[in-house]
Amino acid sequence: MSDNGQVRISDFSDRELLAMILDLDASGEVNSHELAVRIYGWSEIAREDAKKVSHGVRCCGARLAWMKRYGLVERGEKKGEWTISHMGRQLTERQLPADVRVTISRTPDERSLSLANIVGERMVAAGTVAGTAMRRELQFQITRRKRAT
Amino acid sequence: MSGLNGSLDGIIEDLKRLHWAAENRVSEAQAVLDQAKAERDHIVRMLKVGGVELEKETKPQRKAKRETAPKSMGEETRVKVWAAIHAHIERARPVLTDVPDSFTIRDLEELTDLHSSSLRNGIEILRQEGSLRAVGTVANGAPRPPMAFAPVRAYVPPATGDE
Repeated sequence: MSDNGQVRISDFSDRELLAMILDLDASGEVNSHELAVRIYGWSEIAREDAKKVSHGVRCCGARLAWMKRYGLVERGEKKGEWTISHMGRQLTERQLPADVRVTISRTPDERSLSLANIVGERMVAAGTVAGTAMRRELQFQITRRKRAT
Repeated sequence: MSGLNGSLDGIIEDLKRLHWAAENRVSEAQAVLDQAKAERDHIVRMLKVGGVELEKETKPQRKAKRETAPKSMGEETRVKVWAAIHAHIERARPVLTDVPDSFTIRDLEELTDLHSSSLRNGIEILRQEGSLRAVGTVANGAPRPPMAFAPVRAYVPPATGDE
């Protein structure tokens, strides 16, 4: 987590946040406060620090607002409430078949450029929400790779 | 309303005065800096005429980026990490009660002979691969509460390649 408490994409990918929302509520409805408690792991004592809590909730709200912009979540009926969008749920729940996953993960390094090209082409051709989700997932992985090297 | 406007006008006037004062100070400081630079250049020229070699001001060199190989994990380590995760799952004590199979790295440390750094590295790689996901942070009162993880799907041994 960043020192200023922001919920950056390198800390939690959109995929992880969507799954986290489903952990908190199977119907995919959550408020910023609930998500903040899960993300920051505030103890009972920490929860009494109104300033800290308020800042954390705002940071979560900001991240969710970006995810709304990308079509992954929608605003709920009440203030601070969020719901996973239909596409967000599909992207979270639908996995690649195991054989495809294994094939991709075992692609030798010398073929990685070709693999990246195909993934890139697929991203360009994808719909708005799916394409953005792909871009952000790649962004998450790129940031992690930068940290690792 | 007019009273309010009057007070706003007063505030704006004050701010304008402050702005002008600040600009004057910037101009004065710039003039002093320019003069100091001119004096420095003059002294440097005189020294050069006198045959004095001045050391060139060198900018601090940036440290060369540490070359490290991307994180990787051997097959044996991978199996051991998954074994520890499975052992934790069998204990049926998820760290987050609403997330089945959730664990922290500390939970796994008790269940494996892997070094802590290898285990941490392994978990990171599995997370990057999408086999594990971060599920939140455990509220245990620690200054830096630990991150919890959970498998995204059931583990498939790499040799079989099917689910």
